[in-house]
Amino acid sequence: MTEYVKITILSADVLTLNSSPVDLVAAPGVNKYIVPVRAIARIYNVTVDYDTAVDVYMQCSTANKRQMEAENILDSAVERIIAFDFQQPTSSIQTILIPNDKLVLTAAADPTNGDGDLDIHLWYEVLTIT
Amino acid sequence: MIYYKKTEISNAQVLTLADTPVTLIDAVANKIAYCFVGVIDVLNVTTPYNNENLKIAIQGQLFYFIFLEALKSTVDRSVIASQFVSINPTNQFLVNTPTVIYTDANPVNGDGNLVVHTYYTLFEL
Repeated sequence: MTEYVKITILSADVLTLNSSPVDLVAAPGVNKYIVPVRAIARIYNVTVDYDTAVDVYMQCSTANKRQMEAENILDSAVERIIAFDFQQPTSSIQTILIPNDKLVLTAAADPTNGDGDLDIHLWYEVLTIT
Repeated sequence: MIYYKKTEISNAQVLTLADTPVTLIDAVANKIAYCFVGVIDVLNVTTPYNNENLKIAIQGQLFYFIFLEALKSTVDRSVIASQFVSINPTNQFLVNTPTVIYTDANPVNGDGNLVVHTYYTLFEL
């Protein structure tokens, strides 16, 4: 069954997305995995675009590879709504799906400047693998 | 909730898809329609169209699904859409706006007709 969640991230929290990732979905339990199906990002209340790390991505909190990315969403000086894109492993040591791990939104570094708020609309499945 | 919609597109409509996009999902007040999956059956082909890519978009916005080479089919087949990523400063989604399928230029030649299967959800900002 596909679940849906909407998370609002105010500008103050956007500015710390790397140092303090935002929880999107709580850890699902033993032997369960969160698998994003589709996601949309909306930036609004914006007058100044962010700098530095303008891509946001979602991943398991202890994974070393992102699952989905909204490229350049923070590089917006006007309201904008775009789809996230799926990411693929690029090396044999990258981990993506971690059992019983929460899903977070983060960025490669803390964005700078910028004042927009961010909404994430996420559709996901919780899979049990034993 | 996930909805399913089936849309049939005739050969005559395919040949004018740039001039007259076909509506797949009607506008819904205060809501955005978002396709999860798009599949196209290309049927009754004896002559392929030229290589125009089929695109699904919220009317007037940047497309977010693309069917590469679907119209080049030389046999009846089904194809699935690939996601297309927005780049700044483009926008992909609007409330209360129809979802359409179109091509950048009108296809030429070709005689197949299409059946478009869309699985989508409706959500509010």
